[in-house]
Amino acid sequence: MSVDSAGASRRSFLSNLMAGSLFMWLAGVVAAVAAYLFPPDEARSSLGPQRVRVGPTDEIRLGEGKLTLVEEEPVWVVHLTRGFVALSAWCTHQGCVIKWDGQKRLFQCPCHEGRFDESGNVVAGLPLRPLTRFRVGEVDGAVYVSRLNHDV
Amino acid sequence: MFDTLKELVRAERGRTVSAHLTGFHYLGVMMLVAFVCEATTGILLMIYYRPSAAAAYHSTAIITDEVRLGWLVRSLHRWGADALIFLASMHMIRVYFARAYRPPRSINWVVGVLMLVLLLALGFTGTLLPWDQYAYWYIDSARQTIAAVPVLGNLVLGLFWGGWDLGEEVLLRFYAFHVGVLPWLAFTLIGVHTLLVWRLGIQEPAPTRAPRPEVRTPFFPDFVATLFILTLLAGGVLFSAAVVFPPSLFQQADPLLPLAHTLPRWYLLPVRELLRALPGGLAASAVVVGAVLIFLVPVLDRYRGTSVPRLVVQRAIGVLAIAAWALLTAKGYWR
Repeated sequence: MSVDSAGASRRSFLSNLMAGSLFMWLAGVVAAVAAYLFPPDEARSSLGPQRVRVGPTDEIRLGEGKLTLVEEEPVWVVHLTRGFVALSAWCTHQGCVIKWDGQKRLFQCPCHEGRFDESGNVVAGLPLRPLTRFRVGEVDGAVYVSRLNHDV
Repeated sequence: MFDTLKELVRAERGRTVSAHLTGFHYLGVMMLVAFVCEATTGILLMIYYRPSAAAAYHSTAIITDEVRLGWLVRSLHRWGADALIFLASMHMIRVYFARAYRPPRSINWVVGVLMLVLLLALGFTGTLLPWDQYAYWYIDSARQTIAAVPVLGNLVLGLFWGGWDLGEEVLLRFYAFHVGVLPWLAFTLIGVHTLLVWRLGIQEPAPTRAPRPEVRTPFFPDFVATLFILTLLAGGVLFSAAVVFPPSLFQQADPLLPLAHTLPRWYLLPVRELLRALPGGLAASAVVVGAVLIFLVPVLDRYRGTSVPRLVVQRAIGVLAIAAWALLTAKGYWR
């Protein structure tokens, strides 16, 4: 009797141990994968290490814009009702630095009267190509920009 | 459908294997586990990786430095790939010396060698993806090697390279092959290979002394339990290697800044040494001919008898090939 019960309990102990370790192992894998999938700030921002901090989100009021530098290129960050947009401030005609007109919602070039709409498309004047787009995003209450191709 | 499954399980319940299996007989099954590890970590890496010349390096850096446990996933993927190629080589060596490539298993030898080629191609295409200096110049030196192979070289470069210069076009192709083509081919071949093994059984070790009573053990649980333990052990080694020696990430690839010395991955070291020893076209052709000879092993050895000298020749060829491979590897490392 005692031998039998000892054997039975050993068997159940071992199978519990086996099931337990399998469960722990699986839980470890699931936890690791979950930790991996939950993105850290840098990855979540989708802006990457080469991003430029423009300023706090509430610094640029609705309809206004702020000029900032991304790798020595002037970039307009404009606050629209649909969110922030970032466009190169270099006119695609001769490379003058354009100005944002919040009233008319247009970018205007002081050199040859080129005009671009709030998406960077040419509205009037000599420029042929739209303004170069930049990536813009909000992370923890601040606005960041980066080049589109440095979008990691 | 559930009933069909039950029926299948019931039919296979009586399956037994020889009691004289060694650890080497588990190499093939362990590769299945390693392949699942590669598939899982590969999919996880795809979540953060971006295949473009501008973003590939940064996304790899993000995986390595920013994503939680990203370095571990990347390291496991890299070490798992090495483990797969190592296990495949060991598995192939065992099958060769057991002469298990003879009918009815000849087709499975060919399928197996094809899978090894696929694994090497997966390793090769995967090496470029981090887009760092090592990846770029390693693949670039390989391009010159492939170009040196007569006839085939240009064909391969045209089909799989898409151009002569190493740039984003090549990166995209390698990515497409690495995640979209090669794994699925490997997956299919693994299915065929496993099914054939299941149908034909493995060639079991011959009794060492003639009148030996054949002892058999059940497939489940005995074989499965041993497999489980071996997989845990191998997994432990793999995990430790991945934790202790995570792969490096060099500077971003710069086409204007060639690296003087890029050591190939260990499994291609002998090929590089051969290239150095012989003039380009000859060495590259020798590698192609060698690969074809390996494919043709079942055709070349159709001997059914038991004449000792002939079997010694078969063994000697195997030992010589391994010795040559090992010597070239050593020469490559201690150059």
